[in-house]
Amino acid sequence: MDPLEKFIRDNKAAFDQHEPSDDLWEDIEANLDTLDDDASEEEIIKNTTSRSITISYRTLWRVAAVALLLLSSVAVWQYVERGQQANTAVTTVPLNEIDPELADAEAYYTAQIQEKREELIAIDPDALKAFDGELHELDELYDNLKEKLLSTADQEAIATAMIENLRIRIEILNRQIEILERYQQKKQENETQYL
Amino acid sequence: MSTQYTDIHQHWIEGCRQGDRKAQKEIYRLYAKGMLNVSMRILNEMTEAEDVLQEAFVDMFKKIHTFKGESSFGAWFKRIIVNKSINQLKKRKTYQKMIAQYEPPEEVTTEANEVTSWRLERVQKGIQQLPDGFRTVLTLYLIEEYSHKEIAQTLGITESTSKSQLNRAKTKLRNWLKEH
Repeated sequence: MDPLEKFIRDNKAAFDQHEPSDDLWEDIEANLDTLDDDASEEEIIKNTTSRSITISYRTLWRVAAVALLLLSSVAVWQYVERGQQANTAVTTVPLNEIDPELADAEAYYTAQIQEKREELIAIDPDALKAFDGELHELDELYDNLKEKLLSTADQEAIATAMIENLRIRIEILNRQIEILERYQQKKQENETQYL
Repeated sequence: MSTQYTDIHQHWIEGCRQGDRKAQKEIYRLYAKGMLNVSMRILNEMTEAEDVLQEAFVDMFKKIHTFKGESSFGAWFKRIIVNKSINQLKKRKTYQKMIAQYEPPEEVTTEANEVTSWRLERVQKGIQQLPDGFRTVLTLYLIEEYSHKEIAQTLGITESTSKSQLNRAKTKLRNWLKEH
Protein backbone atom coordinates (compact mmCIF):
# COMPACT_ATOMS: atom_id res chain seq x y z
CA MET A 1 0.00 0.00 0.00
CA ASP A 2 1.42 3.38 -0.89
CA PRO A 3 2.09 5.94 1.84
CA LEU A 4 -0.84 8.15 0.91
CA GLU A 5 -3.31 5.24 1.12
CA LYS A 6 -1.82 4.19 4.41
CA PHE A 7 -2.01 7.70 5.78
CA ILE A 8 -5.70 8.02 4.95
CA ARG A 9 -6.60 4.57 6.26
CA ASP A 10 -4.66 5.10 9.48
CA ASN A 11 -6.52 8.33 10.08
CA LYS A 12 -9.93 7.13 9.01
CA ALA A 13 -11.67 8.36 12.14
CA ALA A 14 -10.50 11.91 11.44
CA PHE A 15 -12.58 11.96 8.28
CA ASP A 16 -15.77 11.94 10.35
CA GLN A 17 -15.44 15.65 10.92
CA HIS A 18 -19.07 16.71 10.36
CA GLU A 19 -21.85 16.85 12.91
CA PRO A 20 -25.55 16.54 12.04
CA SER A 21 -27.72 19.57 12.86
CA ASP A 22 -29.47 19.53 16.20
CA ASP A 23 -32.99 19.51 14.79
CA LEU A 24 -32.48 16.63 12.36
CA TRP A 25 -33.93 14.05 14.72
CA GLU A 26 -37.09 16.14 15.16
CA ASP A 27 -37.58 16.11 11.39
CA ILE A 28 -37.13 12.34 11.26
CA GLU A 29 -39.50 11.88 14.17
CA ALA A 30 -42.15 14.05 12.51
CA ASN A 31 -41.77 11.94 9.40
CA LEU A 32 -42.14 8.73 11.36
CA ASP A 33 -45.24 10.11 13.09
CA THR A 34 -47.04 10.70 9.80
CA LEU A 35 -46.07 7.19 8.74
CA ASP A 36 -47.56 5.75 11.93
CA ASP A 37 -50.77 7.68 11.33
CA ASP A 38 -51.02 6.34 7.80
CA ALA A 39 -50.42 2.82 9.04
CA SER A 40 -53.15 2.95 11.66
CA GLU A 41 -55.59 4.42 9.15
CA GLU A 42 -54.83 1.56 6.81
CA GLU A 43 -55.40 -0.81 9.69
CA ILE A 44 -58.85 0.65 10.34
CA ILE A 45 -59.83 0.39 6.69
CA LYS A 46 -58.62 -3.20 6.62
CA ASN A 47 -60.54 -4.12 9.75
CA THR A 48 -63.78 -2.62 8.55
CA THR A 49 -63.75 -4.33 5.19
CA SER A 50 -65.22 -7.74 5.75
CA ARG A 51 -64.30 -9.22 2.42
CA SER A 52 -60.59 -8.63 2.89
CA ILE A 53 -58.69 -11.78 1.95
CA THR A 54 -55.46 -12.82 3.58
CA ILE A 55 -53.12 -14.88 1.47
CA SER A 56 -49.71 -15.76 2.83
CA TYR A 57 -46.77 -14.79 0.68
CA ARG A 58 -45.67 -18.42 0.53
CA THR A 59 -48.98 -19.43 -1.00
CA LEU A 60 -48.87 -16.47 -3.30
CA TRP A 61 -45.45 -17.38 -4.57
CA ARG A 62 -46.55 -20.94 -5.16
CA VAL A 63 -49.65 -19.85 -7.00
CA ALA A 64 -47.58 -17.34 -8.92
CA ALA A 65 -45.16 -20.06 -9.98
CA VAL A 66 -47.97 -22.20 -11.36
CA ALA A 67 -49.64 -19.22 -12.95
CA LEU A 68 -46.35 -18.20 -14.47
CA LEU A 69 -46.33 -21.02 -17.01
CA LEU A 70 -49.86 -20.33 -18.05
CA LEU A 71 -49.43 -16.60 -18.03
CA SER A 72 -46.25 -16.58 -20.03
CA SER A 73 -47.82 -18.53 -22.86
CA VAL A 74 -50.81 -16.23 -22.83
CA ALA A 75 -48.40 -13.34 -22.49
CA VAL A 76 -46.47 -14.22 -25.62
CA TRP A 77 -49.65 -14.60 -27.59
CA GLN A 78 -51.16 -11.38 -26.35
CA TYR A 79 -47.94 -9.48 -26.65
CA VAL A 80 -47.74 -10.33 -30.33
CA GLU A 81 -51.43 -9.56 -30.66
CA ARG A 82 -51.39 -6.20 -28.98
CA GLY A 83 -47.99 -4.94 -29.92
CA GLN A 84 -46.45 -2.37 -27.70
CA GLN A 85 -49.35 -0.53 -26.18
CA ALA A 86 -49.38 2.66 -24.25
CA ASN A 87 -47.22 2.50 -21.19
CA THR A 88 -49.06 3.34 -18.01
CA ALA A 89 -46.18 2.34 -15.81
CA VAL A 90 -46.71 1.55 -12.16
CA THR A 91 -44.23 4.24 -11.26
CA THR A 92 -42.95 7.16 -13.23
CA VAL A 93 -39.22 6.45 -13.36
CA PRO A 94 -38.33 5.63 -16.96
CA LEU A 95 -36.74 2.22 -17.22
CA ASN A 96 -35.80 2.38 -20.89
CA GLU A 97 -32.34 3.64 -20.22
CA ILE A 98 -31.51 1.04 -17.61
CA ASP A 99 -33.07 -2.01 -19.16
CA PRO A 100 -35.20 -1.67 -22.31
CA GLU A 101 -36.35 -5.29 -22.17
CA LEU A 102 -37.60 -4.83 -18.64
CA ALA A 103 -39.32 -1.62 -19.67
CA ASP A 104 -41.24 -3.57 -22.31
CA ALA A 105 -42.25 -6.19 -19.78
CA GLU A 106 -43.33 -3.52 -17.32
CA ALA A 107 -45.50 -1.86 -19.95
CA TYR A 108 -47.11 -5.15 -20.83
CA TYR A 109 -47.90 -6.21 -17.28
CA THR A 110 -49.04 -2.77 -16.27
CA ALA A 111 -51.58 -2.83 -19.08
CA GLN A 112 -52.73 -6.25 -17.89
CA ILE A 113 -53.09 -5.05 -14.33
CA GLN A 114 -55.08 -2.03 -15.44
CA GLU A 115 -57.40 -4.28 -17.43
CA LYS A 116 -57.97 -6.58 -14.47
CA ARG A 117 -58.63 -3.67 -12.17
CA GLU A 118 -61.27 -2.35 -14.50
CA GLU A 119 -62.81 -5.78 -14.80
CA LEU A 120 -62.96 -6.04 -11.03
CA ILE A 121 -64.43 -2.59 -10.53
CA ALA A 122 -67.10 -3.47 -13.09
CA ILE A 123 -68.19 -6.37 -10.87
CA ASP A 124 -67.99 -4.48 -7.61
CA PRO A 125 -66.93 -0.83 -7.39
CA ASP A 126 -65.64 -1.35 -3.85
CA ALA A 127 -63.76 -4.55 -4.60
CA LEU A 128 -60.33 -2.98 -4.82
CA LYS A 129 -60.54 -1.49 -1.35
CA ALA A 130 -60.41 -4.92 0.22
CA PHE A 131 -56.77 -5.46 -0.64
CA ASP A 132 -55.50 -1.97 -1.21
CA GLY A 133 -52.99 -2.67 1.55
CA GLU A 134 -51.51 -5.66 -0.26
CA LEU A 135 -51.28 -3.84 -3.56
CA HIS A 136 -49.79 -0.84 -1.86
CA GLU A 137 -47.17 -3.04 -0.24
CA LEU A 138 -46.36 -4.57 -3.60
CA ASP A 139 -46.06 -1.06 -5.01
CA GLU A 140 -43.55 -0.21 -2.35
CA LEU A 141 -41.61 -3.40 -2.89
CA TYR A 142 -41.60 -2.69 -6.58
CA ASP A 143 -40.30 0.83 -6.15
CA ASN A 144 -37.74 -0.52 -3.81
CA LEU A 145 -36.53 -3.07 -6.33
CA LYS A 146 -36.49 -0.44 -9.01
CA GLU A 147 -34.39 1.77 -6.81
CA LYS A 148 -31.97 -1.08 -6.27
CA LEU A 149 -31.79 -1.84 -9.95
CA LEU A 150 -29.29 0.94 -10.55
CA SER A 151 -26.77 -0.02 -7.96
CA THR A 152 -27.30 -3.69 -7.40
CA ALA A 153 -24.69 -6.34 -8.00
CA ASP A 154 -27.12 -8.56 -9.88
CA GLN A 155 -29.50 -6.66 -12.13
CA GLU A 156 -31.00 -9.82 -13.55
CA ALA A 157 -32.13 -11.06 -10.15
CA ILE A 158 -33.76 -7.73 -9.37
CA ALA A 159 -35.43 -7.65 -12.79
CA THR A 160 -36.84 -11.14 -12.21
CA ALA A 161 -38.18 -10.08 -8.83
CA MET A 162 -39.79 -7.02 -10.40
CA ILE A 163 -41.59 -9.11 -13.01
CA GLU A 164 -42.64 -11.56 -10.32
CA ASN A 165 -44.04 -8.67 -8.31
CA LEU A 166 -46.20 -7.57 -11.23
CA ARG A 167 -47.38 -11.12 -11.81
CA ILE A 168 -48.44 -11.47 -8.20
CA ARG A 169 -50.70 -8.45 -8.61
CA ILE A 170 -52.35 -10.04 -11.61
CA GLU A 171 -52.77 -13.18 -9.56
CA ILE A 172 -54.38 -11.28 -6.68
CA LEU A 173 -56.74 -9.54 -9.08
CA ASN A 174 -57.60 -12.79 -10.84
CA ARG A 175 -58.39 -14.50 -7.59
CA GLN A 176 -60.55 -11.65 -6.44
CA ILE A 177 -62.45 -11.68 -9.72
CA GLU A 178 -62.94 -15.41 -9.32
CA ILE A 179 -64.17 -15.03 -5.75
CA LEU A 180 -66.61 -12.30 -6.66
CA GLU A 181 -67.93 -14.19 -9.64
CA ARG A 182 -68.52 -17.27 -7.52
CA TYR A 183 -70.18 -15.14 -4.87
CA GLN A 184 -72.55 -13.60 -7.39
CA GLN A 185 -73.32 -16.96 -8.90
CA LYS A 186 -74.21 -18.31 -5.45
CA LYS A 187 -76.37 -15.29 -4.81
CA GLN A 188 -78.23 -15.82 -8.04
CA GLU A 189 -78.71 -19.50 -7.30
CA ASN A 190 -80.10 -18.67 -3.90
CA GLU A 191 -82.43 -16.11 -5.34
CA THR A 192 -83.83 -18.50 -7.92
CA GLN A 193 -84.25 -21.10 -5.20
CA TYR A 194 -86.52 -18.89 -3.17
CA LEU A 195 -88.52 -17.61 -6.07
CA MET B 1 -23.57 -21.51 5.86
CA SER B 2 -24.12 -17.88 6.52
CA THR B 3 -22.64 -16.03 9.40
CA GLN B 4 -25.15 -14.46 11.72
CA TYR B 5 -24.00 -11.28 13.32
CA THR B 6 -25.07 -10.47 16.80
CA ASP B 7 -24.93 -6.75 17.02
CA ILE B 8 -23.81 -4.91 20.09
CA HIS B 9 -26.90 -2.79 19.65
CA GLN B 10 -29.17 -5.79 19.18
CA HIS B 11 -31.45 -4.64 21.95
CA TRP B 12 -32.14 -1.31 20.26
CA ILE B 13 -32.48 -2.91 16.83
CA GLU B 14 -35.17 -5.21 18.24
CA GLY B 15 -36.90 -2.17 19.69
CA CYS B 16 -36.86 -0.50 16.28
CA ARG B 17 -38.51 -3.58 14.79
CA GLN B 18 -41.37 -3.00 17.23
CA GLY B 19 -41.48 0.64 16.17
CA ASP B 20 -40.38 1.77 19.61
CA ARG B 21 -39.59 5.48 19.42
CA LYS B 22 -37.03 5.37 22.22
CA ALA B 23 -35.07 2.64 20.46
CA GLN B 24 -35.24 4.58 17.19
CA LYS B 25 -33.85 7.64 18.89
CA GLU B 26 -31.05 5.62 20.40
CA ILE B 27 -30.10 4.14 17.03
CA TYR B 28 -30.17 7.66 15.62
CA ARG B 29 -27.87 8.86 18.38
CA LEU B 30 -25.46 6.01 17.71
CA TYR B 31 -25.33 6.19 13.93
CA ALA B 32 -26.28 9.71 12.80
CA LYS B 33 -22.80 11.19 12.85
CA GLY B 34 -21.04 8.26 11.20
CA MET B 35 -23.65 7.98 8.48
CA LEU B 36 -23.74 11.72 7.84
CA ASN B 37 -20.01 11.59 7.20
CA VAL B 38 -20.35 8.64 4.83
CA SER B 39 -22.85 10.71 2.85
CA MET B 40 -20.72 13.87 3.11
CA ARG B 41 -17.69 12.09 1.66
CA ILE B 42 -19.75 11.23 -1.39
CA LEU B 43 -21.84 14.38 -1.77
CA ASN B 44 -19.52 16.98 -0.26
CA GLU B 45 -22.49 19.22 0.40
CA MET B 46 -24.08 19.53 3.81
CA THR B 47 -27.72 20.25 2.90
CA GLU B 48 -27.87 17.35 0.47
CA ALA B 49 -26.09 15.01 2.87
CA GLU B 50 -28.53 15.87 5.66
CA ASP B 51 -31.49 15.33 3.36
CA VAL B 52 -30.12 11.94 2.40
CA LEU B 53 -29.50 11.14 6.05
CA GLN B 54 -33.03 12.04 7.05
CA GLU B 55 -34.58 10.07 4.22
CA ALA B 56 -32.32 7.10 4.91
CA PHE B 57 -33.24 6.96 8.59
CA VAL B 58 -36.97 7.05 7.82
CA ASP B 59 -36.61 4.38 5.12
CA MET B 60 -34.37 2.27 7.31
CA PHE B 61 -36.85 2.28 10.22
CA LYS B 62 -39.58 1.39 7.75
CA LYS B 63 -37.62 -1.48 6.25
CA ILE B 64 -35.84 -2.72 9.34
CA HIS B 65 -37.83 -5.95 9.20
CA THR B 66 -35.88 -6.80 6.04
CA PHE B 67 -32.62 -6.69 7.99
CA LYS B 68 -31.92 -10.34 8.65
CA GLY B 69 -28.50 -10.08 10.19
CA GLU B 70 -26.48 -11.43 7.25
CA SER B 71 -24.12 -8.54 7.88
CA SER B 72 -23.68 -6.19 10.77
CA PHE B 73 -26.42 -3.62 11.20
CA GLY B 74 -23.89 -0.85 10.56
CA ALA B 75 -22.81 -2.34 7.22
CA TRP B 76 -26.42 -2.86 6.19
CA PHE B 77 -27.39 0.70 7.05
CA LYS B 78 -24.26 2.08 5.45
CA ARG B 79 -25.26 0.35 2.21
CA ILE B 80 -28.56 2.26 2.27
CA ILE B 81 -26.76 5.55 2.88
CA VAL B 82 -24.19 4.90 0.17
CA ASN B 83 -26.83 3.94 -2.40
CA LYS B 84 -28.98 6.96 -1.60
CA SER B 85 -26.01 9.29 -1.72
CA ILE B 86 -24.87 7.88 -5.05
CA ASN B 87 -28.38 8.27 -6.47
CA GLN B 88 -28.34 11.87 -5.31
CA LEU B 89 -24.90 12.35 -6.83
CA LYS B 90 -26.06 10.92 -10.14
CA LYS B 91 -28.57 13.73 -10.41
CA ARG B 92 -25.71 16.16 -10.76
CA LYS B 93 -24.85 17.04 -14.32
CA THR B 94 -21.16 16.87 -13.65
CA TYR B 95 -21.34 13.27 -12.50
CA GLN B 96 -21.89 11.70 -15.90
CA LYS B 97 -18.62 12.84 -17.31
CA MET B 98 -16.72 12.02 -14.14
CA ILE B 99 -17.18 8.29 -14.34
CA ALA B 100 -15.92 7.99 -17.86
CA GLN B 101 -15.53 4.76 -19.73
CA TYR B 102 -12.50 2.70 -19.00
CA GLU B 103 -9.23 4.20 -20.01
CA PRO B 104 -5.87 2.65 -19.27
CA PRO B 105 -4.67 3.92 -15.89
CA GLU B 106 -2.20 6.73 -15.95
CA GLU B 107 1.32 5.91 -14.99
CA VAL B 108 1.44 6.42 -11.26
CA THR B 109 4.78 7.61 -10.14
CA THR B 110 5.11 6.88 -6.49
CA GLU B 111 8.18 8.78 -5.56
CA ALA B 112 10.32 6.73 -3.24
CA ASN B 113 10.94 9.63 -0.95
CA GLU B 114 7.37 10.85 -0.96
CA VAL B 115 6.93 13.34 1.79
CA THR B 116 4.89 11.53 4.40
CA SER B 117 4.41 14.46 6.68
CA TRP B 118 0.93 15.25 5.38
CA ARG B 119 -1.19 17.21 7.71
CA LEU B 120 -4.64 15.87 8.30
CA GLU B 121 -6.63 18.99 7.51
CA ARG B 122 -4.76 19.41 4.26
CA VAL B 123 -5.54 15.86 3.19
CA GLN B 124 -9.18 16.40 4.22
CA LYS B 125 -9.28 19.58 2.15
CA GLY B 126 -7.52 17.88 -0.74
CA ILE B 127 -10.11 15.11 -0.80
CA GLN B 128 -12.95 17.62 -0.66
CA GLN B 129 -11.69 19.48 -3.71
CA LEU B 130 -11.55 16.30 -5.83
CA PRO B 131 -14.19 16.05 -8.57
CA ASP B 132 -17.28 14.04 -7.54
CA GLY B 133 -16.39 10.79 -9.30
CA PHE B 134 -12.81 10.69 -8.05
CA ARG B 135 -13.76 11.61 -4.50
CA THR B 136 -16.46 8.95 -4.38
CA VAL B 137 -14.22 6.13 -5.57
CA LEU B 138 -11.33 7.20 -3.37
CA THR B 139 -13.34 7.49 -0.17
CA LEU B 140 -15.39 4.35 -0.80
CA TYR B 141 -12.13 2.45 -1.23
CA LEU B 142 -9.92 3.99 1.43
CA ILE B 143 -12.36 5.03 4.15
CA GLU B 144 -15.44 2.84 3.67
CA GLU B 145 -13.04 0.01 2.70
CA TYR B 146 -15.21 -1.25 -0.12
CA SER B 147 -13.47 -3.57 -2.57
CA HIS B 148 -13.14 -2.56 -6.21
CA LYS B 149 -15.75 -5.18 -6.96
CA GLU B 150 -18.22 -3.59 -4.53
CA ILE B 151 -17.48 -0.11 -5.85
CA ALA B 152 -18.00 -1.30 -9.41
CA GLN B 153 -21.35 -2.82 -8.46
CA THR B 154 -22.41 0.24 -6.51
CA LEU B 155 -21.57 2.74 -9.22
CA GLY B 156 -22.44 0.58 -12.19
CA ILE B 157 -18.93 0.72 -13.62
CA THR B 158 -16.34 -1.96 -14.31
CA GLU B 159 -13.71 -2.98 -11.82
CA SER B 160 -10.97 -1.67 -14.08
CA THR B 161 -12.68 1.70 -14.22
CA SER B 162 -12.86 1.70 -10.44
CA LYS B 163 -9.14 0.94 -10.23
CA SER B 164 -8.15 3.54 -12.78
CA GLN B 165 -10.38 6.14 -11.12
CA LEU B 166 -8.71 5.43 -7.80
CA ASN B 167 -5.27 5.87 -9.34
CA ARG B 168 -6.22 9.11 -11.00
CA ALA B 169 -7.85 10.36 -7.82
CA LYS B 170 -4.67 9.63 -5.90
CA THR B 171 -2.51 11.33 -8.53
CA LYS B 172 -4.77 14.37 -8.43
CA LEU B 173 -4.71 14.43 -4.66
CA ARG B 174 -0.93 14.10 -4.58
CA ASN B 175 -0.49 16.97 -6.98
CA TRP B 176 -2.85 19.12 -4.97
CA LEU B 177 -0.96 18.32 -1.78
CA LYS B 178 2.31 19.27 -3.45
CA GLU B 179 0.94 22.64 -4.50
CA HIS B 180 -0.72 23.50 -1.21
